[in-house]
Amino acid sequence: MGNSDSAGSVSNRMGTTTTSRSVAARVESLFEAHIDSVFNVGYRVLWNRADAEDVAQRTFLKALQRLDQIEDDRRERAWLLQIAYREAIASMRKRREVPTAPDKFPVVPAPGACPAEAAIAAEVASRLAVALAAMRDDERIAVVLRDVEGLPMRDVAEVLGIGHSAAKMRVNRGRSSLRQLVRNAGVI
Amino acid sequence: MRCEDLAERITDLLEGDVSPEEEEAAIEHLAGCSRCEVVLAETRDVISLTADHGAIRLTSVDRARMLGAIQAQATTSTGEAQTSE
Repeated sequence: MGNSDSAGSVSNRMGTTTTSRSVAARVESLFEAHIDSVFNVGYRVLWNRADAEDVAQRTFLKALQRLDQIEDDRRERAWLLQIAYREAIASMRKRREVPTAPDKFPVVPAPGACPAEAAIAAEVASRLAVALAAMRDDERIAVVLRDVEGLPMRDVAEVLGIGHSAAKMRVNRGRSSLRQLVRNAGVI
Repeated sequence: MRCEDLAERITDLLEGDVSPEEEEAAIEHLAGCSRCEVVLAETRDVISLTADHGAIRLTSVDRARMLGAIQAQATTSTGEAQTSE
């Protein structure tokens, strides 16, 4: 990834300042493609909806200042999630109170799901959230990146700022821990 | 291959990141170890479960509200940057 824009202005890859309209369009494009993933990373680190929204907002604003750093559009999501993860960790270190329980999150039913299916999905998602919350922080976020967001292992490593082998180990341990937690919760 | 070795390599096995020799040793171990067979099956289940139910999909109302706040800040920042040039 390239150098940051030291002037702090919003620049495109040619280094020219963009207009407000094109900035708004670029924000919307990035947002629509990645907001759920960015929010998920913030939420799974902080377990607080308002804090996760703050992280998402800061992530997209920072991304706009660094658009010239995207070298490969296919890795745009990993690049954004790396910013989100760092913002979430910074927020976690600053806050004074740690939530005792995750904020409840309403599950948006999948398109076409009948009420019974939606209710079952909501119950499973709720139990999974409790199990995820009980995991070690570092293992949970590795599992979320690999298994929820579907990032390749090299991108998991990049987002977390660790080596490929360490990322694989973290995902493996996280899956093992989560397996035992969801089994105890009667989900599998 | 011992049970502990297999536990450490489950992710590698599931992602095909093992040598043919290691895969053969794992298959041989699994054929004679019902406990590891269960662990492997449950790991597959938990990966599917997490993929299917671990994502958060924000409502359209939340998305619109958050996008509006971000765009307002982004355009303000851009205007300030352009003014200062």
